Amino acid sequence: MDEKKRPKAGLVAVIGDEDTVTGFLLAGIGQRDPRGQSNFLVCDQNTTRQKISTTFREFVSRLDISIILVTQDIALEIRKEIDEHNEVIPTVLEIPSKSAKYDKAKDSIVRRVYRLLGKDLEEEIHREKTQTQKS
Amino acid sequence: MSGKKILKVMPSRMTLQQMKAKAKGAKKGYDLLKKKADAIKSFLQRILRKILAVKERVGRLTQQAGVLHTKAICFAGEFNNQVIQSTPNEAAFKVSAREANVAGVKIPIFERHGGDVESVQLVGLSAGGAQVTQCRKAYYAVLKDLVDLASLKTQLVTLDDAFKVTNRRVNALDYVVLPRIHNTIKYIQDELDEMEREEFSRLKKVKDVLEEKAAEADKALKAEMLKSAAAAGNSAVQSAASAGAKGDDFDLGDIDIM
Repeated sequence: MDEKKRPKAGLVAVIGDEDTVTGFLLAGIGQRDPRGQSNFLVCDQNTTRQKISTTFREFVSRLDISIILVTQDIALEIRKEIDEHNEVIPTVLEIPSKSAKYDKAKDSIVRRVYRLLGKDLEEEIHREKTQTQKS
Repeated sequence: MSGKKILKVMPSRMTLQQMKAKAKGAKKGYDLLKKKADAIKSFLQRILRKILAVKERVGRLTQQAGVLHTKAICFAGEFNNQVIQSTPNEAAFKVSAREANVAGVKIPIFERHGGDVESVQLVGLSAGGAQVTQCRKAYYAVLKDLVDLASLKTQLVTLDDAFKVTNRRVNALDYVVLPRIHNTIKYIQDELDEMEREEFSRLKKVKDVLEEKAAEADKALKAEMLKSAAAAGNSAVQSAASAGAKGDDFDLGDIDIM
């Protein structure tokens, strides 16, 4: 990881469904250079796992990308690649999407946090479920 | 772990002093590292709670943004494709990484490059513009939180690794280095005691031998005197000498030296 070669300002990449990607593009993270290389990937049900995996790896290896946002449902598909990614930069974040409701149990960061805190994730979720049921 | 491991040293007073100095240094290092490990740990706890809080917020904000997006599409029609196609050559929103120092560990922090500016340049979305702007604002808020989240995550990973390394060193000192030095000190002290005892008994032996020799020399001298006295016919000397030969205590000063 050649930190010195990284440009001072890095991009935020996003891999997700069309709505999510559009939303973040509206916020200004999108970029497409004359060669057609972009920092986002719109996925639908036809997008192959292979394509997602390749694009993810490509984003990881690009020195100008600092953060990669992945919607949770897609993150589940390339769970292996995400777990293998151990470097500090680029950081991979799982985000909820319109279709996939945010599931705390499946978020890799949350799991790590709970493991480090020594708390039980399943217990916490169960407790939350019963709480919302009561109210 | 196998039994008494010690450092290979020659047992002497000098090495004993050296070992004691080493023990002191190691203990100091251990205390410092332990402090560092504790500091990192408490920071880690704080970050963990922050992460959970921000994640919750992101979840909510994203949901809101999604709703506004749907609304905007209702008003402005399907503009997704338009937005995607009109992606600029260079992104308006970039992040830069700053290095901060936490408990002696260098951690990166992400910040919006160029400050907090909501730049707006959209192409051809005139109808339903207000809704689109609201939608954009919502996603921008989510983005800001996500940048914070990314910072927290990198801090978490970096500190976690640093904690593991520091803890390993603490344990290494505690379970390997310090016991080894203490065993060496004990070994040197034992050896020194042993050598002292040997020295003591050796000296005692030498003293005994010397005393024996002195007693023999004494006897020889008295025998000589007896002989010369007998030759000279001095009875006084004879009696004194014979008394001496019997082993009685007598003072040489008793005899008149003629």
